[in-house]
Amino acid sequence: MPSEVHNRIAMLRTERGLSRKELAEAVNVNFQTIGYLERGDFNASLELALKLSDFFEVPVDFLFSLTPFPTLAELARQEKKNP
Amino acid sequence: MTKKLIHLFKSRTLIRAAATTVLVAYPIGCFALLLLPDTWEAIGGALFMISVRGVICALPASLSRIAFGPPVVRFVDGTATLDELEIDFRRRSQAFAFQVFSLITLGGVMYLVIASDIVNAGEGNLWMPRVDDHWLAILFGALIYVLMLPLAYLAWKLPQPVEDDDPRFEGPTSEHEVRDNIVVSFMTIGLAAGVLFSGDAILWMACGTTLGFALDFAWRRRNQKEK
Repeated sequence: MPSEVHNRIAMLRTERGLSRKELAEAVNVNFQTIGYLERGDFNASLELALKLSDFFEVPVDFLFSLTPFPTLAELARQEKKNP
Repeated sequence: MTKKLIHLFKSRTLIRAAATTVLVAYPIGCFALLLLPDTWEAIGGALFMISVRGVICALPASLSRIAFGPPVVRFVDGTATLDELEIDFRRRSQAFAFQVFSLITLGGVMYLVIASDIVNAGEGNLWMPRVDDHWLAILFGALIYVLMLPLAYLAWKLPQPVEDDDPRFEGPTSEHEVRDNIVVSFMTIGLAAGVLFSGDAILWMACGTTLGFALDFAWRRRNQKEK
């Protein structure tokens, strides 16, 4: 049973004002695949993970993680505790 | 260009229903038509026609590009390749189809070996294919199962499609569902009329299907002009 891989694709895509179709065209996949990735229905291959991290200009481990990413509220709380 | 001429069924519910119906209705229909007494002929014929209708709905489905790979992908949307998710699901659907088809074939061959032994020894009268109709039913059954098993797997196992936030989005939307249902409704009305009134279900269903596709084509042309 493959472990669940969490990602920040939806967040980064929205931040940049891209549609799924535009992102899909940039990394050469079907736009449904982007949707499935965002929804956690599918785990990206290493090649696609590298393409996505290259496109968003962030490290792969910023984009993908085996543990859930902290929410913005959690990050803000942490920031308050350790400014 | 091709994409504009062909109606691709995108409703996941419809493709699921069509592929599953074919796999169930075809063998039961053939059994009733060829092996049961004449009183079962109408039911057998109706089930056979329902399975034909299922094939007509399932084969030109958007999922067929994944099930049948690059040649169909090029024909359907002009692109040359599947992406990694589609290739993954294509492999899984083929593995599933191979396993199920192998089991059915193995079971069938084992039955024929046992039945021919019993019949040749004069110990009983088990059914064996003897006339052309029986062999043709088996041949078309094999063909239908080879085509439908991967599609059925994809229809049930591929995650539900995601709608895009892009206005140019061409994925399955409520409009596609409505269009799919219109084509299938005409097909069903034609089939029912054929069975009830004339006995020539194929002709009526063909007319209904053509009318459904023509309406869909006209609808899309009108939408394109409006855009």
